[in-house]
Amino acid sequence: MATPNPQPSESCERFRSEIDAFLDGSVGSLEPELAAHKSRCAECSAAFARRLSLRRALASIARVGVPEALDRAVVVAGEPAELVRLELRHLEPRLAPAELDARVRPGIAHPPRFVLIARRRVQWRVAAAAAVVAAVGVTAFRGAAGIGGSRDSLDGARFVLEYRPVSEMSPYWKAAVEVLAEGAPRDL
Amino acid sequence: MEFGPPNRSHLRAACAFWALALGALAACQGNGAEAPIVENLATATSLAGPRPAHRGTRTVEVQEQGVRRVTVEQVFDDGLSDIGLRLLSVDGKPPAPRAELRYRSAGRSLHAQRTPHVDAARALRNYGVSIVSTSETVAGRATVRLRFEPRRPGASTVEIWVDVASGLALRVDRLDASGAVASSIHYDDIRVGGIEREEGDPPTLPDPPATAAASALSFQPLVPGRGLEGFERVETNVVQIPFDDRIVFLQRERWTDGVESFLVFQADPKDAVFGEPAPPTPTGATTITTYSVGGVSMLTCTRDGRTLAAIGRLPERELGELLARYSPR
Repeated sequence: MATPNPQPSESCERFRSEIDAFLDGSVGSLEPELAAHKSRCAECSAAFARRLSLRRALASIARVGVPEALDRAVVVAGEPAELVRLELRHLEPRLAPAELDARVRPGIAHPPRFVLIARRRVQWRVAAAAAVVAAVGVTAFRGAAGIGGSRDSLDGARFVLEYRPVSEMSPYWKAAVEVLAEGAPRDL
Repeated sequence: MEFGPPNRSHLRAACAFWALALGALAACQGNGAEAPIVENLATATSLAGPRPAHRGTRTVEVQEQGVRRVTVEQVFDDGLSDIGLRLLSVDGKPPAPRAELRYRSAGRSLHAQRTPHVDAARALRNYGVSIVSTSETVAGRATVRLRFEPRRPGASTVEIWVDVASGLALRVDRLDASGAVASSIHYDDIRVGGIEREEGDPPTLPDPPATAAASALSFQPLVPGRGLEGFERVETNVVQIPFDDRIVFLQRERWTDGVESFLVFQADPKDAVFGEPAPPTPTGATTITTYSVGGVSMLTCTRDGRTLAAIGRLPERELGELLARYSPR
């Protein structure tokens, strides 16, 4: 059981310098020595809980729902690049800056049967709205049947592929990215 | 007969075989006899065989959305279980301390990913294999350059420069659809042999995730109705990973077509290791969230009380189709 420790020790200092790296996924596991310290030291245990709570709170307030107008902005892409270009014109300019076209278009290399490219509800970071707008192409398809999706809505689609920015990945996914993507991606 | 971990004699035998086999390949270059020799080679050995101990420096170049990223790393590999990796530079600059932490924690898997595991029998079913050259050197060593052309549309062409003397892959290039090099991993210098550690070798990496019994899972895993064309599931196990100050159990499957591979994970949704589940669509369709970085696709979705995730160098659409085929037994 953790006990009060009025004088922070060297172990306390080390523990507190390491917990952020652990909480943000930079290190895969808490070293046994640090884990043992956490169970012994009430102050550090509380500090850990506070950091964890803060991290979760930040994660929740950093996301807001995208306006419904965006949900309705479905882009049909029979000939992806050209149609996306046409349909993007209907999106609210404030939500769809010119860079979206450039960012979304390279991702539309799907065979014609995956015809539905849509912008729909995503989560975004308040401080980085532009980054969110750049990340929300959606391809819908009838997953199990392997047949093309509806041209003008999600009706009939059993599965929807939703593209998200790397910055929204969980810590475990970030570690996986590093494993397979030759180093941490630049926007992590 | 019992099979233990590879020892020095295994390594010597593997090296000798490679030297003979690749020497034969080199001798036959140009007279149209490559295909049968490659097939014979495939039945006898593979790039996934025992590897000799080595140490050196290698460069990893990745073309990502038009931007070229270059990392340089130092490697020590005793050919058994001791692997060390040190990040030397990122885009010509010293790595940030935080980057090194990440690098170290993921280093063992990183090393495995950069060391090609070519299952020759499967590779020959799914790729056309040819010899491009027998006269090129990498890091000053003579190599045979093999080219793997996928029979499946959309897959990447892979070229591997194999060290004639040791059988190690000294360079691996992946080409994009236009034939340009999308990523390249090559040794700048390498010394083969010597299992004992020496001063200056990179520190030993953390152990890989421990495995557990299937009973450790709190759910019955889903099973795929059918796999992806050319790919076979070659490994299924349960791994335990530390996450948010606790241990999380995941089922991990590895699929391969002989050259490329991808992983499929299943987890309990309450563990949220792959992030919060996507909200349901208005029509009730399952949302598969996908990220793509450096040609690697990462997908995840939650349904039937399980979180499914896939990661690999395949188009999101293909991995999405596979996830959609998983269902209760």
